[in-house]
Amino acid sequence: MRLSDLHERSLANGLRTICMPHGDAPLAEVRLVVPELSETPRALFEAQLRAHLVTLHEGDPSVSLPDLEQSAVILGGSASPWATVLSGSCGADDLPRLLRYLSGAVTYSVVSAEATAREYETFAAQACASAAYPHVLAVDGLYQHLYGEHAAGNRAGTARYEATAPNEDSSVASSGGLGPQEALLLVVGGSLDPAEVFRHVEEHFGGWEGSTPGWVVPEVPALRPGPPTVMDVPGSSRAHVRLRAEAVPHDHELYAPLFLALNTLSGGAVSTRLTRNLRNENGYVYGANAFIDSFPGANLIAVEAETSITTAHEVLAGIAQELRGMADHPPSEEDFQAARRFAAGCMRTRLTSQAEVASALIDLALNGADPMELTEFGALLSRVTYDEVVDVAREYFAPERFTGVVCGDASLLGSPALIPNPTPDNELIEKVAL
Amino acid sequence: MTATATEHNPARTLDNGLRVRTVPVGSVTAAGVALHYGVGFRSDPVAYPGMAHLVEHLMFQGAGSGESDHFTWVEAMGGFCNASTRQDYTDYYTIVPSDHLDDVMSLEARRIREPRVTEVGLRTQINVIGEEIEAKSRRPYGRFPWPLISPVLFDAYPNAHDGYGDTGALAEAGLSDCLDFFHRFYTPSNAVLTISGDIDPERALDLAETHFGSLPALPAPDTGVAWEPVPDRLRTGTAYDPLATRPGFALGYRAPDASLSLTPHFALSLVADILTSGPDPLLARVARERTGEPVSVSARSGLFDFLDARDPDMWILSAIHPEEVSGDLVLDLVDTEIRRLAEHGVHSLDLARARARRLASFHRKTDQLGARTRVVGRGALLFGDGDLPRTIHRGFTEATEQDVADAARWLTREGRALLHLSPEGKDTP
Repeated sequence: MRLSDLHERSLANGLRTICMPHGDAPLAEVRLVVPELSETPRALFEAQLRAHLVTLHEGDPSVSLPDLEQSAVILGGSASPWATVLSGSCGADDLPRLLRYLSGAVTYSVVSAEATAREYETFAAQACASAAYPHVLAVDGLYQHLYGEHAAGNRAGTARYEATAPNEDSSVASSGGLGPQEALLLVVGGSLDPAEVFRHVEEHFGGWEGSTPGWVVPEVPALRPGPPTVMDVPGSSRAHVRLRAEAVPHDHELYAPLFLALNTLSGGAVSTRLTRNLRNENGYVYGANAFIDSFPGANLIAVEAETSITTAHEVLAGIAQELRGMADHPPSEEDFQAARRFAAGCMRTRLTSQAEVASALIDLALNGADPMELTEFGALLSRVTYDEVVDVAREYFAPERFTGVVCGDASLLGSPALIPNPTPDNELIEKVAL
Repeated sequence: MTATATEHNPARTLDNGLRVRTVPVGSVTAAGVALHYGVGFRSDPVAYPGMAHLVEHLMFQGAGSGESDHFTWVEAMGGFCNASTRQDYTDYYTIVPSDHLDDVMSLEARRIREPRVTEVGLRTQINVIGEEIEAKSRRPYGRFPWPLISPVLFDAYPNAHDGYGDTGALAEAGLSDCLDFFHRFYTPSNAVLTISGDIDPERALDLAETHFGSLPALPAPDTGVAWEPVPDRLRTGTAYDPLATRPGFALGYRAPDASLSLTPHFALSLVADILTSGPDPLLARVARERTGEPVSVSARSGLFDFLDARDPDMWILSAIHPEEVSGDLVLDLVDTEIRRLAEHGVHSLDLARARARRLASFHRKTDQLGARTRVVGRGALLFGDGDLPRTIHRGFTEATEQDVADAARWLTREGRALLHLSPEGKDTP
C-alpha cells in the first residue's frame, strides 16, 4: 500500500474523507467513525444500541432500507467508549445510495418506536447471552481489573449489564448530537473514481451539523503490575489468561522496535517463541498470542492464551519463561530479520480484500491514530536496527511489568502467578450473575 | 454485480494426475497456493476418529530431516498458512508475497514427498488437538449444532462420527497408522493445486510441473462409501449443554446430491436466507409477534459451508429461545413458514433481497485472496467445477421463484433430524 493509493478531502464542517480504490471486486466498503465519549456504562450501552438503530432509519423516502436490501447492501453499527462506527458494504454501483443512506443515519435519523422496542429487546438478549461465554467474561474482567470505573474500563462488559435494565427512554434511538467534528469517512472499493466519491460525499454530508466536539480522550491511568486476578467461573474446566503491560505510544521512537520485538515473541506468527513453547513443544494450548492492544490514550503489550484448568500454572510458567527470555536470551539477528520479513509480508498478504484494507485503516482511526500512518509503517520498520530491538526486548518484557486476569474455576486454579510467590495475594473477582 | 472471471484461466493436469488451476488477480502483490487433498474425516478409520484431522496437524511439522517446521519457513517469507479438515477434503493454504511463489511451491512439494513426522510431534499434536476441541466445545453451544446433529441425521460412521476427533482413541495411534493414512490418501491424483494472485499463469503451471511433476503417479485411493439412504421418518435426539443459557433445537435435512446437480443448492441457500436474514428476519419476527419474546434462528445450506461437501450433505436450521417459550411452538412456526414458501412461493422482492444478500456475502468473502483460492480448489476437487466462484454467482443470479418454492418443498419432508438442546438439569423443551 502506498500513500498515493489514498486520496483525502475534508469538508468545511470538519468531516474528513479518505478514499482508496482497491481491487477488482465490484464492491465498496464504507466506514463512518464519529468520535463521541461514553464515560458511563449506560452511555456506552445507549451508544451501541443507537449505532445499531440508526442503520435502520426511515427518514429518507428516496433511499429506503427495503430498497437498499435489493442492492446487496450490508449495514452495521457499533460503539466503543470513544467513538461510534457505522459501516456499510455494497455493490460499487450502489455507493452513492449507500452514502446518502448513511448521511441520513447521522443527520435526520427517524426510527419507529416499534423498531426501537424490538431492537432493544433483541440487543439486550444478545448482550446477556454473550456474558455466558468465558472468553467474553475474561475480556470484560480484564479491562475492569485494569481501569475500574475509568472509560477505558468501560468496555463491552459493563455496558452489557446495562442491557438488562428496562428501556424507559425512547430517545435512545435518536442520532441527534452526532456531529462531523473530527469524524472520518472511509471509502474503499474496486475501480473507484475518488473525485466522484468526494462529489457524492459533499452532496450528502456537506449539510451535516451536530454538536459532538470531536475526540475527547480522558487520560488513561498507568497500569499497576501485580499477580493476575482470578475471575471465578465455577465449574469451568478452561483457563483464559489475559495479561497486559505498558507499551509506548504510536508516535514514540521505540514503537517500531517494540513492535518487531513483539513479533519475535509472537505477533500472530506461529513459529515464534511463545507458540513454539506452549503449543509446539508442550501441547498446552491450541493457540497463544502476543500483540499490541491499542485504544485511545494507551498502548499495551498483550499476552493471551487459553488452556485446560489443569495446565494453567504451566502455561503461566511458560509465558514467564518466554517473557524473561526476551532479556536473558534476546532475539537473534536471524529472529529479528524473520520478524521484519513477516511484518512486511503481512502488509501484502493480509490486505488483499477491500474489507481487510478498510478494517486496517479504521482500526488505526479508532485507536486515535491517523490511518495514513499505515502507508508509512513498512518504511518505519525497515529503518529499525537489530540493536534497537534487543534494547526494547530487554526493557519491556519483564514479567514484573505485567498484570491481568486468569478466568476459570477459582477452586481449581489456586493462585496463578507469573512470578512464583510463596504468599499468594491474588485478588478474586466474583462472576456477576445476570 | 459481475463475477470475477476465472473460467478461461490456464489449467493443467500433470502426468501423475495432479490437477492444477490458476487464478490470476491483478490487484494484489501476494500469491496464494492451496492444496486440496481428496480425503476428509469421512475417511477416518473406525478405530481412530479424527485421524484425518491429526494428519493435517502433522503436516506442519516440516519436511525431510530439516529442523524447521512448516510455519517457520512460510513466516520467514513474510507469509501465513493454515489448513482445514472437512468431510471430503483437507486443504492446506498459504499466502505469501508473490516473489516467494517458487519457494512456497517447493515447500509444499517437499512436505508431500517427505513429511517429517516424529513420535514426539505426534504425541504433542494429539494434545494440541485436545486443546482445540476443548476450546471450542467448553463454551455455550460449542457443540451445537455440529457435531451433535450428525449422529441424529446419519447412521453410517463416516457421516455420524465427530470428525474433530476422539483424543482418547487417537492416543492409541502409532506413527505407522498416521503414515499409512498419509501414504494412502495424499497422492497427486487425489489432489488439486490452486495457484492465485499476482502470478503469470503459464509460469505458475511450469512451476507446478517443476516441483510436483516428479511425484510418483499412484492410483486414486478408495475413500470409502459414505452414502446412506435419505431418512423417511423423523429422527430425534436430545443433548445437554451445562453452559447454555437458553434451550434450543436444530433441524437437519439431507441436501440433494450435488453430483447430480448444483442447481437445487442455490435455492436451498436462498430459503435459509429468506427465513433467517435481513434487518428483521422472517422467523425471528414471526416468533416475536407470536410469543412476545426474542427468538434467535439461523440456517444454512451445507454442514460447514456452501457447496463444501459431496453427497450426503446437510441443510441446517437452529433456534435458541427463552425457557418460557415452548420449543414445540417455535418448531411449529418454522414448519408453517417453510410450508407457506412451498405452497405460495416467495414474493419477488423477498427473493431479490435474499439474492442480493447471498451475492454480496459471497463476493465479499472471496474478495480475500485466500478464500478465493480455496473456493476454486474445492470446486475442482469436489465437483469437477473449474470455476466455482462463477458457478455460484450464476446460480444465485438465475435461481427462480419456482426454484425457491421447490427447495422449500424439499424441506417439508418427514424424514429429518430434530435435535433438542437443553441446559443441564432442565427438562427437554
